[in-house]
Amino acid sequence: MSPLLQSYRSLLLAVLSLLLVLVILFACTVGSMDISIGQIVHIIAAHLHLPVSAEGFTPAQDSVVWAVRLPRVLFGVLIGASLALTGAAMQGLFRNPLADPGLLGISAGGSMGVIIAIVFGSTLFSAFPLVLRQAMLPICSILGSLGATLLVYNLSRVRGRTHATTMLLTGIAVNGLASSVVGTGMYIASNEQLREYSFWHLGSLGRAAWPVVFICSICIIPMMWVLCTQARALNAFLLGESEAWHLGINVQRVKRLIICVTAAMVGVGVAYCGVISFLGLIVPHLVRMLIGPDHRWLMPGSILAGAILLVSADLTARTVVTPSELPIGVITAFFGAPFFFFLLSIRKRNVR
Amino acid sequence: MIKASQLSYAYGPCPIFSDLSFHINVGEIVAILGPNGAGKTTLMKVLCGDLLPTSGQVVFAGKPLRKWEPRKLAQRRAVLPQASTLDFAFNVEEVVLMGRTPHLQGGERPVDMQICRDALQRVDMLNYWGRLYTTLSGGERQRIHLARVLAQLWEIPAEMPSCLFLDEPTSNLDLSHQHSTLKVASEFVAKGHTSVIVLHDLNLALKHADRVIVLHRGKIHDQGPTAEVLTPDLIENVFGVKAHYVRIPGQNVYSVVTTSL
Repeated sequence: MSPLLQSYRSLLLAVLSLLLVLVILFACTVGSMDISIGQIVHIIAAHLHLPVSAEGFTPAQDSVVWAVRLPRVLFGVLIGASLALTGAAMQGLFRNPLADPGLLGISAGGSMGVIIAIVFGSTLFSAFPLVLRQAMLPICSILGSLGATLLVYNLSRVRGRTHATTMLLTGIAVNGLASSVVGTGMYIASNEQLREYSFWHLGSLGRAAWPVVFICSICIIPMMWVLCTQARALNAFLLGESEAWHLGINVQRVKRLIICVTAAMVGVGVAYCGVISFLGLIVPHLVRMLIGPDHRWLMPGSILAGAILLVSADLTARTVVTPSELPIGVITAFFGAPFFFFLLSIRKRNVR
Repeated sequence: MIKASQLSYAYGPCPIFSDLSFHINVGEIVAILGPNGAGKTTLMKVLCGDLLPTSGQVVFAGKPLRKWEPRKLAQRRAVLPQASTLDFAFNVEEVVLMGRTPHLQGGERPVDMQICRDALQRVDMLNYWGRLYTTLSGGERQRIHLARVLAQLWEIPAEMPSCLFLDEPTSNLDLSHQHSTLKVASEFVAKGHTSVIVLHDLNLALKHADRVIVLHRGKIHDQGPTAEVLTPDLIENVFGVKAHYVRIPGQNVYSVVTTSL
């Protein structure tokens, strides 16, 4: 790799970081109350006990930014980053730039867990203390995602090795099974349960509050770090599973690690903000076009770009139909699906 | 270097080969020959650890193959597969640098960049530096992967003999690159290493291989020094073609010409 290429890539990451900071600040300014970027910076600095004057903003502005907008934006950063990184890892693992965590049935498994929690929760968990009952929805979602992934993984292992094609096909079957369970759940659900489910199902960052942001960071950030340490192994995977093994990668262990970590990451995200589709597919693609397929650059790039895109999508979701808001999954799918068609048409043209 | 004893392999109920025993010594090029479906590629996969034999065992450099730690093994043996599919737009030098994976702790060192350069030079592709891998032709890709496996075993001291496995390395190559590829393998072996090559072309085997193992119907039909083993009789029995040895004018070298029976 020439030094020129290296500095180009570093520059690109720096630009993305700067863009992310700007998007975060800008997203905090938008809403029913007018607050300038300067005031936002002041408010954040004041809360971080930095020596700034507390003159430039009102208490109302302070509470809107600190209690409502900032946690929501940071939650978006976290979820966007983890979805995009998961997508990058999955595409590397399957050597298929069209792979997506959704294909493995991870999100579908999460949905299955959630519908079970919503429809049967009141009877199943009634003996649990209140705190635990509130935690059951995320727990069920994570268990659903993990269960679906483990099912796909175990079914697709042939003589101790996993074949990507078999795995993707099994993923389709798991998706089918999950949607039948979800369909049954929706059929027997009451009106109120149905509304709760569909609000969750389409995805929203509306649940964001400091405790949620805090819990998610504790879960997601270490897992993101683990995935990033596998960048070189993922590069070798792009040559093929046998080739990765020839290069000294412990293929089965790396695969198991990546599958478990991505399943858990998607499970956590899905539990708190529902199914946000297409982000994991599109972001690694865009970043690959800019920075190349080397995972040591692709993964940090995807983290930054995923955060930028999800915060922007959330901004759109909560401004286009003010005072109400759209589910964020609607926005990502609205822009994501055409992009996916575009990718497919490029691939079709490239097939010789 | 490699000791195979009573190797058998079966895909489910279909036996591919059974009860193969042989040695491969340090400092020799061994060609595995045989008709389609004789089990050459499967044997290669068992020898380099891709597949576990159904029974029997492979000892590599004095230690059973399955006891090797993947990274340590990768520092001692490299494999060039028949065809590599890489659909991602890496630069040529990034693909070659992947060969250094088992030797790296952190990022690439300047010495790795130099090895990458030398390996590309060895396969005559240094002027492709900076090109996108996905824009190359099949033969060019094959040579890039040859450079990658050379980089993997570059400058390994002779007291730690290593082994280069090539599975039909000439399938995509033009005539001159077929010879230059095998010459690269010869140079590698001359430094005190070993190479195992699956070949189809008997003349390439005659010219470059020290010994051959001829597989036929899942058994070793014959093995030994190339010129002694590849008799017209054996070629007729195994490949079903008539073979004639023809002397190359002005040289003490023979070439084999085959016609259908």
